[in-house]
Amino acid sequence: MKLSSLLLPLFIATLAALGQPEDKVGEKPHPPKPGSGSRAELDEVTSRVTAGLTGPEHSLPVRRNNYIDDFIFDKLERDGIPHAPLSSDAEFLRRAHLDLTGRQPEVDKVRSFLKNADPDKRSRLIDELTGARVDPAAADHPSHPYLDRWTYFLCDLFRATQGEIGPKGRNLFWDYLNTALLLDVPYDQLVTEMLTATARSNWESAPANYLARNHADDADGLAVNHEDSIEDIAISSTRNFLGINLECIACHDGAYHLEKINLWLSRKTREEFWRQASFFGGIRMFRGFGIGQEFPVQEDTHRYDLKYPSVKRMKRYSADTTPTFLLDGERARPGEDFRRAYARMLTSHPQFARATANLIWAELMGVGIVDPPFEFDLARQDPDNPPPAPWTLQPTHPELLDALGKDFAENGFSLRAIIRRIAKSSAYQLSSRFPGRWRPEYARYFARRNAKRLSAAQLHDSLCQVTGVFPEIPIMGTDLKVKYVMQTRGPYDLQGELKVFLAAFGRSNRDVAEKSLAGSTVQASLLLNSDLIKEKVRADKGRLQTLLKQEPLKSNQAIVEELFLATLGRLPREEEQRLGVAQIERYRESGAEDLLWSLLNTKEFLFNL
Amino acid sequence: MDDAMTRIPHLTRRGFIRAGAATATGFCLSPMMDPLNLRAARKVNPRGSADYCIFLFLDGGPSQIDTFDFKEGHYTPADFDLRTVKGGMLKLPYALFPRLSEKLDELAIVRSVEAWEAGHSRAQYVLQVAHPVSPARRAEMPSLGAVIAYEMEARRKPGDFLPPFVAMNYNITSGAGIVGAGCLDPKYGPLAFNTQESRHFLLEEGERERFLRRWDLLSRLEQGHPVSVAGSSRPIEEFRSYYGEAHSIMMAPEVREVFKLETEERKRYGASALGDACILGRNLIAAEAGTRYVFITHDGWDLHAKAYDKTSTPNQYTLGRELDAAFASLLTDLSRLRTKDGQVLLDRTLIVCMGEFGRTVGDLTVNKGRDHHRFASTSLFAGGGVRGGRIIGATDPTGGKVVDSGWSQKRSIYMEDIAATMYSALGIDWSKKITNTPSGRAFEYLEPVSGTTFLKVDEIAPLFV
Repeated sequence: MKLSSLLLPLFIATLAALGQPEDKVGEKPHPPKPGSGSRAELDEVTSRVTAGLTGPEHSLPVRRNNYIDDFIFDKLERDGIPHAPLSSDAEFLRRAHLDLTGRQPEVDKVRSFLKNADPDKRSRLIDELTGARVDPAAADHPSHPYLDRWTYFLCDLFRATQGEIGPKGRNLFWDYLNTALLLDVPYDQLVTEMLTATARSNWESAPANYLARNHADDADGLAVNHEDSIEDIAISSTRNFLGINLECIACHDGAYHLEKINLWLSRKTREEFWRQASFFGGIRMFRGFGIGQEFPVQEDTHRYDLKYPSVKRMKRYSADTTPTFLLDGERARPGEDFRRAYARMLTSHPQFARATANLIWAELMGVGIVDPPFEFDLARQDPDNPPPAPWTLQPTHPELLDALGKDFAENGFSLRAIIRRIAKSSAYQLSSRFPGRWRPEYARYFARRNAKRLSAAQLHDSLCQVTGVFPEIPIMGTDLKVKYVMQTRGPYDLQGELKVFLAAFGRSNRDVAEKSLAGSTVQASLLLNSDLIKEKVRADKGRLQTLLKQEPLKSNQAIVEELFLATLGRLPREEEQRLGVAQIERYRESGAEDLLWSLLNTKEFLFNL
Repeated sequence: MDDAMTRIPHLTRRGFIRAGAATATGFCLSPMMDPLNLRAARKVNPRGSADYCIFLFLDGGPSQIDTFDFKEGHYTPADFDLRTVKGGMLKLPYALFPRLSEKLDELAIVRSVEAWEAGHSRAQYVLQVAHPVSPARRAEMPSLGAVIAYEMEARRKPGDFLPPFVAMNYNITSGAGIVGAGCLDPKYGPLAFNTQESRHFLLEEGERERFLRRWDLLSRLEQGHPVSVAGSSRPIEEFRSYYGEAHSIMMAPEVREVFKLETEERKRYGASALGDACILGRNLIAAEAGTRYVFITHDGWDLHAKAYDKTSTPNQYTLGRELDAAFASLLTDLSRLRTKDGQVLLDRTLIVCMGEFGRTVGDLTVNKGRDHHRFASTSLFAGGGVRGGRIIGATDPTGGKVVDSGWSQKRSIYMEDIAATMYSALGIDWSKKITNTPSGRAFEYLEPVSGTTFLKVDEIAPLFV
């Protein structure tokens, strides 16, 4: 009798039994107390059942590591909602690697981390993974996974593509953002620099690419439509840096349109939107060099011609366009440059810190405290001033969001610090498994880890990493070749089967098609039967070749173990070990290929749990 | 916060494999959003003259005046072999379209089409969705193909193993990408692939045994995993159904026929990516096994430079001939094939062929090409009740401006109208709307408003008269 077949029904039965009390009408579930009480008992029972499957780590107590945990667990406790246990070390290690660096943990790393008895090892790991630093002694700074991963994130956010700013602009911008992350440049400074940039050419001056990317073509596709462009810049900067979506009021007043969608925006008018865009009225962008994506970005006399035809939006009409900040009606100080004033108001407004912290939270936790992160409703944020019924507060944890924003601002708008803060919380480190009956409403409590499919880039890079079979990806406009998609400078770098693979898995093309983690039948077919996969699992290549051929020869047991560590970041369970060994014994090298192929097709591999 | 599905049954391995078969027919594992469909006030009468639709998308925007709204000028290359065909009905560059010239009886040429947008991304989005680009709503806007798939769900038969919406060879580096299901269930999104990659669904004869062996190992490995046991999450469960889906396509005995590309046939279709996609499109529809809408992209029409230069690929000649061979062969085959109930397949299949906008007219530009031009372009229609051998609408002598819209409305024809025409042919009430979208904004199949103005959307009725 197989071990798992004995344990499985028991496991299910136990969970079913544990789930029972919560179903009874009128009987309140026991309040959860992290680390103690009935919740702990539940954890203990579950961990006894799962011990044989996943190791003993599940009995780890859920400690309160920082203020985030106070907000999250206090609320769970107050409302009597159970939560998942802490993730196992192996789960956490893989998760932290994927979230913070976009890559899988290496086999040695998994072994040493699992053995490590240091109670602070998780926190140390987070510091280490995000620890890219300038080394004054080094002549060169080689690419660092943390920097690559978050540069990729920012390039997606800013939609930096050579289709709009040319290969030179995009490469320059990538370098700029990568370096900003290395130096941990305060985010408010970075944003200010981009919004106030002027340049003879965006191919010569990196920060100008933010604005250049938001140029809007006129009807002939050659001239730049000034009014559409400044409105696009207003929309993109309000979205990216304040989490507010102005697309609707860019065409019409909020009234009679947004009453059911966004209370705050339903009170805003199109004219107020124009006054927000008007801060950028002095920008002069044009194709100074013929057709193409090279733009001078100049500051000139202020202009906002409301009569000029838009190619994107409804006809405009005459109105007052004195630059006025949408959030609080503030205007530029006497003599103050309009764009500088805008950057000052934007970065000093608490919403800037809140929206950015929320964005990072959403990236790490899978869902924002306000979600989607670019749909903030400012009339529904303040618990002391709640919106009228039937509206409810928008953030799941308003006080936590405020605290995150304050923390971010007080730490000098350090992206690294806020990333670390979130990753170090126990809230981030909960398991995606939920012992007991999961209810939809628990999701709003962050009562368990939100399992996310690996992003297109993460998945591709993971496949390469675990099989040890890498492509050489030439970076357009340079002599550089890179191994990881996370190091590419934009979608145009990906050609052939890579392009197909990445697109099928929903990478952003930094144009109209946004990043998506949704699954599809084509994705499954690619993982099952594409040349890309078939090539990577061959026994005469990469990791398998090393495993099978390296002297002294490894036992089948050791090979199975190594493949599990490489792909899933954990040791195989007994039954898995048995299946793997049997496959290799029976089919030899071809059986090892089967095992690797199968592991790459498990949902456990495909998901960041 | 959609990580909320708990009513998906836990699947044992046997259940999993059975679910694979079941999803092929009903795609039933994906959780339903149960869209709430409300009829709009306006009464429309969809004609239901077609069961299938193939959209040939000429990516980049073909020059109307070098194709089916030909305007001769001193710029016209002599070897275009300009001929007047169909009893003087039209002039066209015979060198580019020798075979389509013989098919004009099947084609209705609409010359009064205008686009809203002059940039590729946005214009291609509008072409796929027939709604203006709105980042506020983009995430939940389904494409025409997804709406068709959703509407055709009721007509799915037991045993249908092909997905309702298939997209081939779409441009993935830039632009709008292929637009998916939006607020509708993801199962209505496209099965999107490039023809070179269609082999993922095919197992070579020698591979079959090994694949089954691997699949078996995979199933056993996943059988006891806690991820699949305790409180599993919706995206993981969805992925399970995608695997079942892919597996059942791969295992279907008919699949080899559907995805087969033979050398002789490829040649007849022009031996191009477009030709291959048209063969697969024909097969997908002729199988009558669930596929209703096929969206095929023909890449390369964005000829800003060296449009007539044969040393620069692609050019007007290569693109024209690729389209000629593929489209003409498709028409030939669909008019020979019969549906299972004995009708000519072409009569039940609407074909639409067009780009996202037209191109500038007159002399070539300094780069010897033509730039984007949204004020006039040409669309071709065939099959599905369309009466061919006709030209609808007219442009001025330069071909740059619509002077006769050719239909009941005094304005040019826009993508919204073309979508209404497609919906009408397929028997879909295009005045419907879905009200319970995630954002709360209603999704109207077609809106009486474009990005910049109001308009009364209607089907292009003269096509069918």
